[in-house]
Amino acid sequence: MTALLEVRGLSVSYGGLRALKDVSFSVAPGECFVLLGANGAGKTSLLRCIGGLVRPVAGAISGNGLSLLGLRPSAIAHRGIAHVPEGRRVFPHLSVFENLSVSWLRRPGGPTLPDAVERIYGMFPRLAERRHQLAGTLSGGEQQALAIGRGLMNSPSLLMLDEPSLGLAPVITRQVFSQLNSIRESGIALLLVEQNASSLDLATRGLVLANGSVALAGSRDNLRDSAFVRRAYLGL
Amino acid sequence: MRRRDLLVGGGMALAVALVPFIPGINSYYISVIVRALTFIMLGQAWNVIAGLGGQLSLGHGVFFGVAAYAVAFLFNGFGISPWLGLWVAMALSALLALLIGLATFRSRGVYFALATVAISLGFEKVARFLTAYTGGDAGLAVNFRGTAPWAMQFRGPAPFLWMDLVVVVGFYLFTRWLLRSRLGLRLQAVRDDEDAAAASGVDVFATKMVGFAISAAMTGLAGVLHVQFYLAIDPGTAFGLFQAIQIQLPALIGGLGTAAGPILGGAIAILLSEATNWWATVSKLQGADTLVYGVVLLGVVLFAPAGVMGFLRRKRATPR
Repeated sequence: MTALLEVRGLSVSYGGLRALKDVSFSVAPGECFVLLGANGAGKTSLLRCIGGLVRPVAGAISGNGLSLLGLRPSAIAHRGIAHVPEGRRVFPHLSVFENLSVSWLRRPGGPTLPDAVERIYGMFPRLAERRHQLAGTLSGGEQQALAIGRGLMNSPSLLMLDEPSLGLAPVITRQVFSQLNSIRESGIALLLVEQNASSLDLATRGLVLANGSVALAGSRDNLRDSAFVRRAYLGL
Repeated sequence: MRRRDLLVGGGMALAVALVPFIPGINSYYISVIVRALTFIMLGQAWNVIAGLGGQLSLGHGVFFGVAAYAVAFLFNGFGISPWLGLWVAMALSALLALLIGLATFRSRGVYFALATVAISLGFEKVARFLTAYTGGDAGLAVNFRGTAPWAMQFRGPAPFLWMDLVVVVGFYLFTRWLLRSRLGLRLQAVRDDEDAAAASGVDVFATKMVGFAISAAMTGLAGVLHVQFYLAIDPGTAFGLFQAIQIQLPALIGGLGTAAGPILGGAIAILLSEATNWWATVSKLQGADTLVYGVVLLGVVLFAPAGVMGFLRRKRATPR
């Protein structure tokens, strides 16, 4: 079976400063792969690189067996790999409905804009209530739901999320994680970047990044049982 | 469209359209309105790329100038009617925008803004030295034909008032449509957050290119109407920095990224400029008009950074 996403030997530099060194992993259809790591470990660089926002200096990225290197971010999104960037980056001066419609793609046989938006409202009823409100006036949890909803507009096969729990109250974080779980159960694979180790509850597999390299990789239980993760992320 | 907008907007447009029919009106006042409408039109054009798209074109005068020179050159040299020439002029402006965008929209930061200034100043020099085609420093005078509708020439200013009014209303309706259209939403998404727009599947480069070309073509139309009204164009008026700064005022004063903003802002700026000009003449303080004008503009930027529209919205907003 071809992997949904395959990353091989990926390295990223910012003007001589190495952010990622030789990172490899793959995501299978329908799984939840978690990337754990401290601030500055290279997690965001990794997602931005897969999403086409940053060019790697070495390595290969492929989606469904086809190389994604050199594609524009929009082209990568159109191949079913959606990226929800760090920090709930909604478009503050557009309404909830307009935020969602920005990422809608007209495709032969695809859903119409109203259908696609209604599907998102079905998943996030709060967004339906606030459809005409400007996104900048939503609460943090609502903005995160909107950012995730925007990523789901074109029914991606893989949803990449950059720290969806960042800056949210624990109770809201739990809501977001449970929504992510339903999304995964609907068959969409997740690539979840987190510092919050409770994200491991969602995970099938994952890896830990430290200083831009893979420090540890394995199944959820492997990660949870490792002394490193227990000490650094679970506070045990 | 909301009924209130229709009534207010339609009423204002009708009032302006009827001004030339006021018995015994001095044509100077009609000329002032023509100047105001051109100013508003330029603001509406700039607002598309800067207000909706967030791309700060600091040398937007270049599109105004290129179109003005093009239509004058085509008429003087080949007898081509400005009614045809305006399409060529608008296409040239759009093409120039695409070339500038091609060179600068792939990189981030200030390159775009700087490139527009550099190109504008470059064109000013070209216009001064290509004397055979542009008339050099003195500029081009459009061959005078008296009242000749086919040549877009009229003895009085009233026909220009009506033409400019049609364009301003058209630009307003276009901006209202654009704000809610797919292209307009993408432009605003790029303005609000370029990375998030790209991650949402928006082709950032293509969106900026299309927005910039539309804005340039609109600016070009203003250039055509300007040159037909004055029947002359010179390098300073066309490509000078003053013109480039003027273009930004209506949207900045009225409210960036709104449909009505450039209209309000343009009207306010012209009234202010006329009033200070009059005051400076009466009080014999030469240059005082520019000073007062500058101070008031500074006040707008400091105290109403979202422009008049932003100020009105804040007042109208009721607590939930």
